[in-house]
Amino acid sequence: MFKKSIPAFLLGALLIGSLSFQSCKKDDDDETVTPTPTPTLYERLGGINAISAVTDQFLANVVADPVINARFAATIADANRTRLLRLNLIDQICAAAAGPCQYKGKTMIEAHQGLNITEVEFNALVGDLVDAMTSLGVAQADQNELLGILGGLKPDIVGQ
Amino acid sequence: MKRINILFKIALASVLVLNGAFFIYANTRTLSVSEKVKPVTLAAYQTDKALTNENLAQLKTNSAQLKNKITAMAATSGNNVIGITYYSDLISSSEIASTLESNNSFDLSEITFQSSGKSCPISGIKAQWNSLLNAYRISDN
Repeated sequence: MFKKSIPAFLLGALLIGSLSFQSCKKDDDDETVTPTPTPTLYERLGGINAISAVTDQFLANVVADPVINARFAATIADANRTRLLRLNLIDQICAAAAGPCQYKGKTMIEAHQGLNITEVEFNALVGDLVDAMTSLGVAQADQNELLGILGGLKPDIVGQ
Repeated sequence: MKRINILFKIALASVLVLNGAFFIYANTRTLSVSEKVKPVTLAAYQTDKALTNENLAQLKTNSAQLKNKITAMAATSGNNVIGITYYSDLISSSEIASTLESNNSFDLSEITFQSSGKSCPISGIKAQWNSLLNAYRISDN
């Protein structure tokens, strides 16, 4: 009788053991921590409202900038063109920051072909953007990240 | 005469159909995230003398009265141009000018930019198209 109960005993031990390991696996799963997704630059900047505020301040800076405001004369003089320029700028910054926007304007090469934009003018424009971001409290690291992305457009703008 | 009447009716029907189609398109298309942002108007003002730091401080005080009506203001000491973005449905450019001039030692005049030579080439045609779409739109959603 004892010999007949050994296989049953072993089977029972095996079953209990496998169930124990299953519960351990469940504990392992419980200990797994899902990493919190890192906020995108778009989210860190504050979303579309913050980007539009930066864009508005940037445009005001450009208008008041004697180095480059004449370059935007035709656009500033026409309310519809101003509206489209602002929309394009918001889309460009939003898209560069991995936001839910799509830039639909001309490429930078097409847009600046024949204008012969100088390095001084480009730097003035960048300065106006930096001033806008700083005045609205954008963190330096986020400014640098955005400028790093937009700075890649420089060869398509200067000297075309 | 009969032919002219027929042509007139065809032309009228075509205009009505085109307007109807445009109206439907303008009101059924999905606005992008950026298109939902309220549009602003850009204005530039010239002072009759270079701005001082005192002027800038007074401008900051004056612009506080325009909160929620202007979205941005830019002015630099030593220059004589002030840039403003504002909601034209809430305030006019002349009201802005008189508010900014208040208690300040300068006179403001709005600058009318003249396009001379090549400038930032925002397509006038595309700008007009967007404006027409917005004119036909009856909802902001």
